[in-house]
Amino acid sequence: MKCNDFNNKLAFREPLKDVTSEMHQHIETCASCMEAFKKTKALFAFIEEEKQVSVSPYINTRIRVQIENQRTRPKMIRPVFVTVMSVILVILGFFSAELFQNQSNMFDSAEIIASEYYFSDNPGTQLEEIWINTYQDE
Amino acid sequence: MQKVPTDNQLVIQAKKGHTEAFSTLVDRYRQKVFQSAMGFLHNPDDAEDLTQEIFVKAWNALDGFDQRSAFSTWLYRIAVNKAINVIRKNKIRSFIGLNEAGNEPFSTESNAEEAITVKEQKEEIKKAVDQLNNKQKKAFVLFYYQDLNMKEVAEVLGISQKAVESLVFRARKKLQSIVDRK
Repeated sequence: MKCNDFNNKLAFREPLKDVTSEMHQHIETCASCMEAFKKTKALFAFIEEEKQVSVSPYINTRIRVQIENQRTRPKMIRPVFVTVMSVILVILGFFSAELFQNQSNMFDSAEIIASEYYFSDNPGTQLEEIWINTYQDE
Repeated sequence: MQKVPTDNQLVIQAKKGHTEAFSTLVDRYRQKVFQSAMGFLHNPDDAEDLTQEIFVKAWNALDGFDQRSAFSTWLYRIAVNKAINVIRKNKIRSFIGLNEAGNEPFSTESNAEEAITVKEQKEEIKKAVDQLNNKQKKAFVLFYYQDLNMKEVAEVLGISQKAVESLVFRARKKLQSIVDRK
């Protein structure tokens, strides 16, 4: 028997129960397949061990309590709905932040104009010029 | 002598809202469902929580169960799908660092060194099982942990028997090669 055949056969069988004499003969002469066999056996011993763990007898009560609670409790808002609403709120938050940002810019520019006006050498002339340029054509 | 109700009779009763009937179904299948949960999660506490979730989901979805397949087939389908979802969520949680360190059950090994070796070996096997893809994992757990035959696994997964054979074979080969590499 070749190693590949051995591995294929091993993959089809339960190594704790049914291994053919041909396979036994092979592992006696092949160290790597013997190692693979041991590891596969360990894998199935592990599965057997996990299968032996029993579920708690109280699980039934826990399930009944949860089902009863669901019946009495008003339906919760679905998580998807909550997620969608959160996203919408975040977007709205960005927009409102943007609005305030613009408003503060407006205040800033007004302040700059005012300070330029009051601190310029001849404040009145600027206003006069604007007035003349605007109403000249009328 | 009182006649034992069949699964179908209990399902009809449960659909009418009789929790007693559903409890009888839970009694019948809790160990099997728990075994498959163990196959996916490898931790008794997590497997028990998952078992609870599976039965609650089954109760909530009972109206949609048309009884064309056996109750067990339908229940196992819910179980494997729910288990895969939980694994996915756990992966995300551990990725963002929300999962606590695994709470391993207390070791009964008397020799501390032996206990460490066994623990390491188990960890290797768990990691190897986790490396299977979802389809392989489902087939593997149903076949080896629940002891279903190929036909039953095929019914649960809604695929052909040949496909199940191939999945189980490939899962075994893959596990062998992963465990071998260590």
